[in-house]
Amino acid sequence: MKEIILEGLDEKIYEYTTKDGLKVYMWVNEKVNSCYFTLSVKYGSLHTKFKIAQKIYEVPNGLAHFLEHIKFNLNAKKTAHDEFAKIGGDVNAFTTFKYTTYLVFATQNKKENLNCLLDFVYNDYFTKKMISKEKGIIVEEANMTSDDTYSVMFFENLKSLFKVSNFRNVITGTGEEIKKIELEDVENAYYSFYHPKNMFLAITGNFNPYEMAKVVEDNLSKKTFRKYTEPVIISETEPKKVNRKYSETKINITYPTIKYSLKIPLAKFKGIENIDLKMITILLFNTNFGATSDFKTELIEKALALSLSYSVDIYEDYLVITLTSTTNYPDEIINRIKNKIDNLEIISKDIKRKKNALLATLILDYDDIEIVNSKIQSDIINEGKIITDFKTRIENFDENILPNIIKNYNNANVAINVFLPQENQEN
Amino acid sequence: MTYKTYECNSFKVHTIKTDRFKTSHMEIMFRKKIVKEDLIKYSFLVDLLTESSKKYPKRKDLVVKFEELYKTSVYGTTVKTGDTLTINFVTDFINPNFILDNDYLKEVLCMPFELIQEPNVVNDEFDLKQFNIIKERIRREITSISDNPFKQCVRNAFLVMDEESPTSYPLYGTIEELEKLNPSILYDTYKKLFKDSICDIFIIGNLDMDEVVNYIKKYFKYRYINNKKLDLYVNNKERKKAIIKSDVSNNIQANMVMLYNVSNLDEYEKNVVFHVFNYIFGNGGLTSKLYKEIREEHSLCYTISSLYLKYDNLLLIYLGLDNNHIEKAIALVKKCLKEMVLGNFSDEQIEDAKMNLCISLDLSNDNNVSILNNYVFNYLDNLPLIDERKELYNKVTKEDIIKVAKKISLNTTYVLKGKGE
Repeated sequence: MKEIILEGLDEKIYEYTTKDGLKVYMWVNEKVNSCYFTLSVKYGSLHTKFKIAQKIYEVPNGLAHFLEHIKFNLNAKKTAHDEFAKIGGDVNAFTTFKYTTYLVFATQNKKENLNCLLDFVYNDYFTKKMISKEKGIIVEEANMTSDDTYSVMFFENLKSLFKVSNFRNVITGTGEEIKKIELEDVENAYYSFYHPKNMFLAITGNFNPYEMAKVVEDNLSKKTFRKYTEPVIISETEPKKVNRKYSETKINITYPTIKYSLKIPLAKFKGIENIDLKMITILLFNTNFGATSDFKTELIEKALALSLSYSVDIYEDYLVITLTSTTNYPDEIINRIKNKIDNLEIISKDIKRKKNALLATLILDYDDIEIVNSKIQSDIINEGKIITDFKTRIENFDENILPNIIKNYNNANVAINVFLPQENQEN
Repeated sequence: MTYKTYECNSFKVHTIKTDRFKTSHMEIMFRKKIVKEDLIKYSFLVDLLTESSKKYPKRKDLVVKFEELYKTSVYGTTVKTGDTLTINFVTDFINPNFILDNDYLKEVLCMPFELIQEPNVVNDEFDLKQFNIIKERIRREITSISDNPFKQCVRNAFLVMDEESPTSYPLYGTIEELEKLNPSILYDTYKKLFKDSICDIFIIGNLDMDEVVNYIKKYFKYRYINNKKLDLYVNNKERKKAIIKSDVSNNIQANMVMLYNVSNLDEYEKNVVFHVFNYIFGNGGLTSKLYKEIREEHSLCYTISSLYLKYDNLLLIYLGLDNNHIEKAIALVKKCLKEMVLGNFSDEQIEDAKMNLCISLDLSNDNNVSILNNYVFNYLDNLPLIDERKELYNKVTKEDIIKVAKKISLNTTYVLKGKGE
């Protein structure tokens, strides 16, 4: 068992690797009753084309999410939900672009819940009948996503930013894509990716880490895994330029909304780690566009916008910064944002204050077993390891680095999406 | 955890001292009977009071102050609980033992009272600029309900059931009501807030509660004593013949709400038995009868759940599904309920339900806001505290569940049809 110390936070994470290669990360909080278990596989909606040995496989969009759903069937009569209901576990799952997670909350029978989680995820029961039945349910879920305006705007924006990347595609797949999924696709994905070496377990809450590690080792030792085939993901090379510079779409909304996105190759930020880049960008855009900025205050006070928010994300080789505003004056807002991007300010006192607020948030995060578990997932998926020095990174952030970075935030490669109400829906 | 109540003449401070969390949470509650046309005024007022103050005239100034206080947050909410409106000012802050500044607690506790008592008012009118900002925000809140099929469907279902019932009154009113408001009317509402309400303060955290109460007494100059008794419950009228109505939306999927009256439950049934019934029937996630029958067995939908609206004496069933499946889904919901009345559920399902409800209570014990909320409803409605409720769950029998199932009758089915793929 390895102990990973989190600098300056008086916290530690236990790391254990089973004989089958499953990494287990554990964070103990003795002040709570519950435990939160997440078993994640590094297989998400992006991974539709992969190579094993010399053979290339292509599977339909939405397969990772589909597999997540049918994984809950234990046999023809029982689902994992039935088993967890008996031992008092609250079980669920989600699929993201990059990974799929099966999760359980428990306050009692913690070891049984962990065993149950491992048993159902590593159970390879798939039938044609099950797949056919599940399609109806998932098509309804996809339809629900299509009725969710936030989701529609999010993916339309990604379609403007990316020409070939799978980030363009909804995680569930479309109705048509879901209907194409076959038993062979499901089994292929399961046997290729659902191997302990391509997965990790995170446990947060009140438990004994040594006991839990033994539970995992004992459980897996009774299972037989096929040889890990080390699938290599094949992704298309995404062009540097945005796919669509400007787009207008009429959707089921009441107020016009704009999304203004900068797509910047990470290669432009040489020597800066992604985790630092994201933090620095958030601080900079918070001071320029956040609640304490003159820019936002003026837009709201003059009723030019009803809301303004920003998001900072890393999509493989690109940093994407998106400004979203609900406004009756889309053109005016777009022009103002454009102008502000060209004139970003470094406001020292605001940055210092927000740095302190960020430190306070970081300390408070270690009060919540869900947040810490999500941090572990994010670190492993995005950084490949637990980040131990995030507090030090915030404290040591030197704003003298900003002039060099800020020149990369410009209007050279921007995607603008304007979402307008349908005719019968204007406010 | 130590519970203690302080009598402060015109209000009470209810405290829970615990060292289990790194944050503290305080709610300043003003409660009053719901009056339809006042709802929008109070919703507006709460937003206005937490947007700025005399000392912090812009939102920006306030946020800077909150950031200086290590990301303290103060926000307002208006909540309808049956026939009662709660106007709530909430403060979340880091426990003072993490902060070196000696004045930190004093400054944090001063903030919500400063916002409530020193509003941005000149000549008996709220600042026009701030008024207009909130007005647009509320306009958006009212009109954009159609962006959310679930909210739209629930709102319409309540209106179809009975538009005169407090259950169906919209918290943000209508555009017509919004247009009638001005900064002067809002100031009158502000004065009424203090005169007509019952005030209580609840706080949970690792704090010296005597010190906290001394600060509250110092900063909160509330002098109105109200001894009115507020009735929490709305008795929605039953129907001899249930009604069904449908409309068409721009959505792809159809959304459906079925509202059932839940009548004549005693305290034990309301607080305990009905939750066990509902867990087995439709609220127990992926093992519930509704889920198993309608989603698993017939693949008719993705979303299906039932929600017990205790203070409205209603059971709400919600489904998102294809237009072609509506009639079949309605028939299956009715079939599932009939099975509950006939006792067609196993002892194992009852035990699973009881255990999972107890686990939910244990989970809520890991969250400071949930602990506080339990305490609030213990005070307002004699809801048994967590440990007592766990004991009561374990006493529930099959006969108890069948008895409450028989007290349910269909009132309204409302369908917001989709336009299809």
